[in-house]
Amino acid sequence: MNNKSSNEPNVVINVVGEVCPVPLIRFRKALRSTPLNAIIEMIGDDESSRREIPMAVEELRLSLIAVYDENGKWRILIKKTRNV
Amino acid sequence: MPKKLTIVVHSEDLDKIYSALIIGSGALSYGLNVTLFFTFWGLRRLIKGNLSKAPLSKYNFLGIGSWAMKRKMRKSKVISLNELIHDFKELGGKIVACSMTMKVLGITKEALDQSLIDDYGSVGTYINESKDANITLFI
Repeated sequence: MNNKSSNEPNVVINVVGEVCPVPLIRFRKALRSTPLNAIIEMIGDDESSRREIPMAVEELRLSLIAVYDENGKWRILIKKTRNV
Repeated sequence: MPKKLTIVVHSEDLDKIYSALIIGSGALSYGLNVTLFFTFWGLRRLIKGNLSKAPLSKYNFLGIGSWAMKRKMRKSKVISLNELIHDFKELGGKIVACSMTMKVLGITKEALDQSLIDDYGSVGTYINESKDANITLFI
């Protein structure tokens, strides 16, 4: 479904203000509801989730595109490279 | 084969039920299969409408402590136990109710929130699920 050449997200999950374990749960839910090769963008400000979402991406053997830090918030871009 | 986590939920304390469900949903987020075994006092939390009526393991003060903790958690934007257990189920987490405890404490299936329960079993079910688990915890 994702023929875009850029890394523009297909879905954006905003978890600003949310704490453990909600950012992880929302990430997992997004993975279940998006098709293969979808690009998911997570936006949040919980410090530990900034480290733990990429850890989950690795454990799930998905592709971590980028992590950005902007004004106390982070943005994590993930490509759903396999069905999990 | 996906990795697996099993937890024995023995305690009925609010803080410990939180720990079990947070660890369980965290593991599901990491792609693990998760089974929670509710036994003894923990099983009482699966009685309809009982989940968040749990006491605190410390400083409960006849329920005032538990009430204050829930208030504090809401202020800190911590997810409620009811939402958490529904997320746990939605992400594919399994819940087993201990049938021996049901007999001992006189809890019927009808009294339990059956929408949360995937299976009823005893120690054999726990061992069978845990023998190839990567992580198992007793809470």
